[in-house]
Amino acid sequence: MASLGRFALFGALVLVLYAIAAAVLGARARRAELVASAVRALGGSAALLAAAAVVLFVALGTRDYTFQYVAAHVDNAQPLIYDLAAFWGGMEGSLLLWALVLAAYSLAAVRAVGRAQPALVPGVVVVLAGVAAFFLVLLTAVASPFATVPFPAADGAGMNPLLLNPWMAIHPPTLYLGYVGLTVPFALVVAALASGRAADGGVLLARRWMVWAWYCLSMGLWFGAKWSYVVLGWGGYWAWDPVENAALMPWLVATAFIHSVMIQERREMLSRWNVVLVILAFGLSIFGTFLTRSGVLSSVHSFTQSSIGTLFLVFLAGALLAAFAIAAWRWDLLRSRHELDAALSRESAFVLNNVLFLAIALAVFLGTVFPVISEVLTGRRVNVGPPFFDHVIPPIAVGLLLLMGVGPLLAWRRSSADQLRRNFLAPGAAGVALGAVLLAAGMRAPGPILIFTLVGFVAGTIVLEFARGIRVRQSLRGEGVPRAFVALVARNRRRYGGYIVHFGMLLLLCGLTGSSVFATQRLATLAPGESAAVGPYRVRYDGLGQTTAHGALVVGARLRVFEGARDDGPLTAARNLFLNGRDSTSDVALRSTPRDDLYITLVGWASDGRATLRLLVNPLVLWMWAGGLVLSAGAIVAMLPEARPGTAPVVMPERVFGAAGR
Amino acid sequence: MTAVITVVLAAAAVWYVLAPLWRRLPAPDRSVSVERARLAAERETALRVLSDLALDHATGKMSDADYEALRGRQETAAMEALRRLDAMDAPKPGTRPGPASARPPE
Repeated sequence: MASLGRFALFGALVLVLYAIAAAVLGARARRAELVASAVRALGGSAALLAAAAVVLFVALGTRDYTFQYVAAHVDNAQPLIYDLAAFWGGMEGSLLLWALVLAAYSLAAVRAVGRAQPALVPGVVVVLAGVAAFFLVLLTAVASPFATVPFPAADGAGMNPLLLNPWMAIHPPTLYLGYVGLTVPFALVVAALASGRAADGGVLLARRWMVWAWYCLSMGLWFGAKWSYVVLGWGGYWAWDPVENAALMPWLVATAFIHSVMIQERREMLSRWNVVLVILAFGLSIFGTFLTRSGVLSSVHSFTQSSIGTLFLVFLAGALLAAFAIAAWRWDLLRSRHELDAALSRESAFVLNNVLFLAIALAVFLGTVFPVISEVLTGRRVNVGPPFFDHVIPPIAVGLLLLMGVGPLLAWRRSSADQLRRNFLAPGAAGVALGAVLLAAGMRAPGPILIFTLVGFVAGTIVLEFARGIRVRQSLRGEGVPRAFVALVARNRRRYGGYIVHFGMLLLLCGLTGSSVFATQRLATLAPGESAAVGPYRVRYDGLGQTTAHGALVVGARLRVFEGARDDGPLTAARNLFLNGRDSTSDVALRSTPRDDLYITLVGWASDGRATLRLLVNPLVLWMWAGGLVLSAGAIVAMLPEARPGTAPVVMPERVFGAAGR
Repeated sequence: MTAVITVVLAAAAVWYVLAPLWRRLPAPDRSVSVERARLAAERETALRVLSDLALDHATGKMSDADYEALRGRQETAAMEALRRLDAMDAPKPGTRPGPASARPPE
């Protein structure tokens, strides 16, 4: 069976190389049949990659230890679901997942481009097949998931215990959907620039793909934060770890693009800037994979480390060099056709927003690679760590938060100061009121008060936007509020979906601020029957228990939580000690409410039954998870296709709000 | 067994990929397809801008004077793009209506 997998990968490599050659020749000789054949080769490679994936899944599911990969990531005690999730638990499987997802995206992209701009098909095929070829070379020559051993062991090593968690089962593939998704906008832009035919540089065609990739990255980051929180046992969800940062950087650039592309759509401006953002986002996705796979920077995520990083760097350098060279060649083609009408306009707000997003991305990049830079320059590895990020990022993020509120109050093209002032009043009052309430409640830290005041202001602008839209529909069509709300969102999905995303971000920010500034924690060693107080809670330790599960000895501390006189019920904080000597993991005792999380880990225990517990109260963490869900809902609304402009009447007020009396 | 599957897969892939080469497909008329795509994009842009202007005006973010001035410009652009697209789609004298020449190769 392994030979079938190897053949499938080799065949896929041959086909993508053929696709590149056929597409180039077809485009040069204007031979449609060659281009059609290239497209089919891309389809054939996708089918072969799917066959290779099936082979690996079957090997993992049947615990076929003749496969080195299976022996390294599966063991007899591991639940089947994690045997299958081991597909992306190791480097070789992850690379196969990359290639497989890229193949699926390639088919969809070529199909979409064939309908919208058929002249770009050969270029898109060349770029997508070129990226696929790189991964297939790695899979066939450097890191094959189908390497076998002549004498298989009776049991495998199993996955790293930290990966045995449902969040980890979905976090990597979601993140990969985002990472790989950034390849399609890159291909569209490079193909459009190379062809010299698309005046917009292919950027507008790339937008929908970028939004999808952004959504997947968002969800991947969210799942990863959740995994970090419930599995790693340190009480947080984000540690500015290099691999976390690796996913954050393309997300930041993609977010900047999603805002700036709106200016290009409406004003035919910023084409050059958007092309650069698309190339950067792709480059950062490859850089992220390099960071994950090379182990060049120490990370809690470096489950697999290898010398494959050098190849990634060479590929990254080559791809960026080629893309920027093509962009420079076509620079004149991307000249803006208009200029800003007024400094006070939504366009200006978006430009400033882009600058801030890129500033954060640059800060994250520098902070992430600083250990390498310092080692190269001074011979000493200096890690800047979380304090650097915690000092540099928040001020810029506050600027972005302010813009998130100001932007929607500004009209496209031109806003008057009078109108802005008038529109500013209600949301501004909402923000100030929230700040005053927090001050009155005893909050004194200036940073959080500023952030919550701005959150109130931005929430006010979002509510105002919805309220005004609903009011207009009501006056035009006499609809009730629920119906007007649904119709307003349905007819302007991108705009109102975007506002829902903003609202999700506000919830996320509340959770982030509350849990990072106001968290309290203590370490307590307790004998059975003793209690420890933390925040508003009193935690009683009732003794230790132990059991075995999935090849691990599970030692659990039985706890009971009280809040004043109220009994909040039992909790168990446990440690899993793996019988084969691997790392131990924590099962966190977690009690979540909208106000705060009580988070307890079992640090250690003694033979006399005493246990050492780490007790934390993290305020508003639940808001973070809720924010992720709201963000997801908003993104889905924004991604749904809008009514085709060609079928809409030209009388815009009717198109937007519906005609009165119709 | 694996060898048989491998050979069948290889043969199927070769047949599938090379099949288009046995027939001659008409070369796409790029000038028309590029122009059509450009006009469609222009039309879409103009309609989107009009939609935004209407929404911004109706929700009180834009004055009447600004709205009228900007709307007039965008309506002209939208109508021009629509007119040229219509002209492109109109059958030429002496030809029967059929599938557009600018179809993707697949």
